[in-house]
Amino acid sequence: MPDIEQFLQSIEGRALRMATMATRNEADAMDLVQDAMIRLVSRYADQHSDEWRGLFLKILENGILDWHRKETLKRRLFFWRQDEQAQEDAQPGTEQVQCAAGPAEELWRDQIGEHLLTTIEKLPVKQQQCYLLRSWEGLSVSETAEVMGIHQNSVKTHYFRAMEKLREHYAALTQTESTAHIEVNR
Amino acid sequence: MKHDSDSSIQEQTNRALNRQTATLPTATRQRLADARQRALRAGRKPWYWQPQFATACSVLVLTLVWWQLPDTTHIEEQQLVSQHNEDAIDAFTYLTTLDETEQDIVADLEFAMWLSQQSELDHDLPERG
Repeated sequence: MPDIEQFLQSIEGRALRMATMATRNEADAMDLVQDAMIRLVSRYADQHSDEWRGLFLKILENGILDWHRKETLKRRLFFWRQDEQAQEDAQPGTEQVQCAAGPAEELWRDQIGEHLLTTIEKLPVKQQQCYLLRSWEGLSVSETAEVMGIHQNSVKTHYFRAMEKLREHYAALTQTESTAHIEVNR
Repeated sequence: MKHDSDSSIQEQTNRALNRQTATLPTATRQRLADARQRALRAGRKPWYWQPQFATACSVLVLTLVWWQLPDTTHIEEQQLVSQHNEDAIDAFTYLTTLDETEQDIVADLEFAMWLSQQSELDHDLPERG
């Protein structure tokens, strides 16, 4: 049976990545991960180690969704700051076009992944977390529903919408890639 | 409906996520390790918060409370005695309010009662000789 510290060590990097994608702020993400760790150790350390992963993800998801609710409320209260935020969000889009002209095939493939991650970052938080849990963490629909505290049909809907946006972006990226190859060959 | 590109999208995003996680900056890794240690310190219950200690404390407190509880039969006796005392005090208070004539009457009544008791005693005793 693994020690709880070993378990935390094994999952903390992925947890931080998921939380950072949801919050787009590493300090807030770090707080969320630490809170999830504290809750797991204080409440569920006595549980069987097989259950730790599900419990930890559930605590983390609750934290992320709570954080997002608070941020939404803050944005509504301080609505005049939205314009500044929108300008900041628009910047990665410009970067995508510049990266799309990269010459090396392998590098370009890696960059497609990076660009897709920016799309995931911009997804609504439930779609984003559904995608990460299903695709990256490899949870089933029922496990994702349990972790996120939503119905299985909602999981399917969120995942479908996330995939739709990723397909659109992927198609645009691969189209750019083909055009770039044609330009190089000429 | 599953599209042809879905598996490619998943593969590339997973690879990018794994790469980003594996190449976290040293400072971030250190902050994560600190957060983990803080969580372990904060999350672990101190020795006085362990269930065994809590049970022992509860048993001790219950024993002390039970030991401090007064005996109920003793209370009833005390109540009876206090009631008797209250009656005597009432009678004494009443007697102090009597004037001299009334006190003489009471004294005469007491003497009459004593006399009747004495005669009853004499009656009960076997005659001598």
